[in-house]
Amino acid sequence: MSKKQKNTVATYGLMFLGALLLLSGCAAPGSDPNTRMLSHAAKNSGGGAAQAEGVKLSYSLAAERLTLHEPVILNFTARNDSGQARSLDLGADYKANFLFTVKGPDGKTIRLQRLRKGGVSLPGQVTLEPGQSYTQKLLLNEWFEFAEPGAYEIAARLAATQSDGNGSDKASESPEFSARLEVAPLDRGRLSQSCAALLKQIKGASSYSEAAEAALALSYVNDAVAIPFLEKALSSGKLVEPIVISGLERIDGQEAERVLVAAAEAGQDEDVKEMAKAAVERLKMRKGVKPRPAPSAM
Amino acid sequence: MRLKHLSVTLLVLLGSLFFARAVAAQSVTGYTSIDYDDDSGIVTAYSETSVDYDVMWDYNAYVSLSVTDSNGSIVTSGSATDTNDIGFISITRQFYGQSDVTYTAKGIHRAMAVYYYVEEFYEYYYPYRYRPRYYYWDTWYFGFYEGYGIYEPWYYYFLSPGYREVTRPTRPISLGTTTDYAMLTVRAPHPKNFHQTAVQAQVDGTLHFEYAWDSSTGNLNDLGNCVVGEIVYLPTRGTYVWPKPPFNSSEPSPGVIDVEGWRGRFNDDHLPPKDGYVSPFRAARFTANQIYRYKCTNVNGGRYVNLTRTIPILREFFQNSDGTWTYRCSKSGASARSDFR
Repeated sequence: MSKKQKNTVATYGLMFLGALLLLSGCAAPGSDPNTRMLSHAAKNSGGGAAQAEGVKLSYSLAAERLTLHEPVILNFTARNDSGQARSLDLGADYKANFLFTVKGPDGKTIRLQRLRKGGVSLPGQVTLEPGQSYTQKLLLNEWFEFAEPGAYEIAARLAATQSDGNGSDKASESPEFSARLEVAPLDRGRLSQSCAALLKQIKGASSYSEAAEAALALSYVNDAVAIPFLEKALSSGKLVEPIVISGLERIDGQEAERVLVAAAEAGQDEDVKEMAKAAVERLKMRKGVKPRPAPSAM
Repeated sequence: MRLKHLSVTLLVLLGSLFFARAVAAQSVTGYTSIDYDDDSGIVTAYSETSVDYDVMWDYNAYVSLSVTDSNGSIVTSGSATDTNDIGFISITRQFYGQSDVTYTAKGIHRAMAVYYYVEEFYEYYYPYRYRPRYYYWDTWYFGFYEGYGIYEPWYYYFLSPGYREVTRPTRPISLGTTTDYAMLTVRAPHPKNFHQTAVQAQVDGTLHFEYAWDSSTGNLNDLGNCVVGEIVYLPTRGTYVWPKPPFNSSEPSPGVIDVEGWRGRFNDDHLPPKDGYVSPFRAARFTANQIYRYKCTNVNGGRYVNLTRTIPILREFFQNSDGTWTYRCSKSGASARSDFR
């Protein structure tokens, strides 16, 4: 990966970012409302955040008007305007320290749970040299489904401390960004075009990061329209099989199950077959009997 | 005159050819090879035993092929016998090779005697009966090679010592072994030197590990087309529901997570039950088996390569002597616990 790529790591997907800037700061007078200059070091009760004095954070929605099930992408940028190197802790997988609230078409405001999962994750620390910027895309569908058409109000900020894992962050902290998103009713033609573009991005990717970014977005298109594109992504040879299989499992339905069964039976890679088999079993469990807890043994 | 000389010359040549064929006859040859295709990542091992035309009516060809890795563990093996009397048998085995491993193919070559006769032999001990005794004709005396321990690279020519009316009690006649090896040097960049860098027990029972790795090229940015991650097998496939009570949790099995190889490090958190605990408390335990591995588009045919052996992760819930309960997660000699009073 080139230095330029590293500096602009514009990747949502597995690259994801998260970011914890430890700060409480106020927007600089006269600044863009979507941009916040962090001018004070935050109190760090989690022990992992570092000072981020002089680091400017900005967000923007990649598209403010979408149709139902299209990926909702938020661009995030951190720029170090100070004269010294600054460290940010963006949280696990570079995204666990982002906090979102969403006000849906029904008028209810939901504070979304931080993303926290067990197992392997990227540490999420970012060091910015003076003048250096860091960008990434956040796939908001990972936090929220946007299942209905209508107007959404999205607010975002970085946690002032590391997550305690139970979502008990202070809700009173003001957001660093808010924007309105219009989600139009389902348009399968447009959705299909979006999926085709993502598949093209996967196939043409020169690195896993690029392929994974597109595959993750495609995997969250929670509609049967995405299935043929996911099927092709599965055999793209771009190492994105686990992401694609998760997407097919989320879509569920007979066609998604057919693709998973085919992958489980006819796949060339034993690991992919094993993942697909497990996904099929989970789909069957969802339809039928819940899995029984393992018997206690001591 | 010239014509006469030419005729004599031709006769001599023909005679020489006949004689040469006679010399080449009455033999068995063994051949073994192993090759690695860098593009596909496939290793192909091959071995054959060929019985000369003059002796193929008296012997069937047999070959056994085995491939071992750098540790001497058998990767693949197989054997075959010529049952069609064509004087030739071969065996091929293919598999995806692992980088930086030396594979050795060994072909064991045998001639299987075809003709035999049987004599009834009375046993003067319990249960006092007649038993058949087999005598296999080794008319070209290939049994000569047994005991010599022939172990040759690539190819060997087992020439018959000559015709003899010899019999033997067993059909297979071991001739010797030919062998070849292939060292897989993967040119494509791939993760190396995967190692643990830190471990931490957290108060909620989370066992936190940190790992790092290098690139085979020395530059992590060369791992743009690689992922590094884990696969975790739980006791059941699909969804594993933790023993309930006391746990209130479930997770996919196997659990597969990959991250970008160029990052050079990742954390691994073994969390307590995601939805907590339920009463009545009772003792329980289960083990997950974890393997760290990598995958690169142009290494090993785009398939996973293990970086570690299987690592057990033990989760337990037990009662202490004072009546309190404890959750404990253990892995690689470390553990994290959470106590309940």
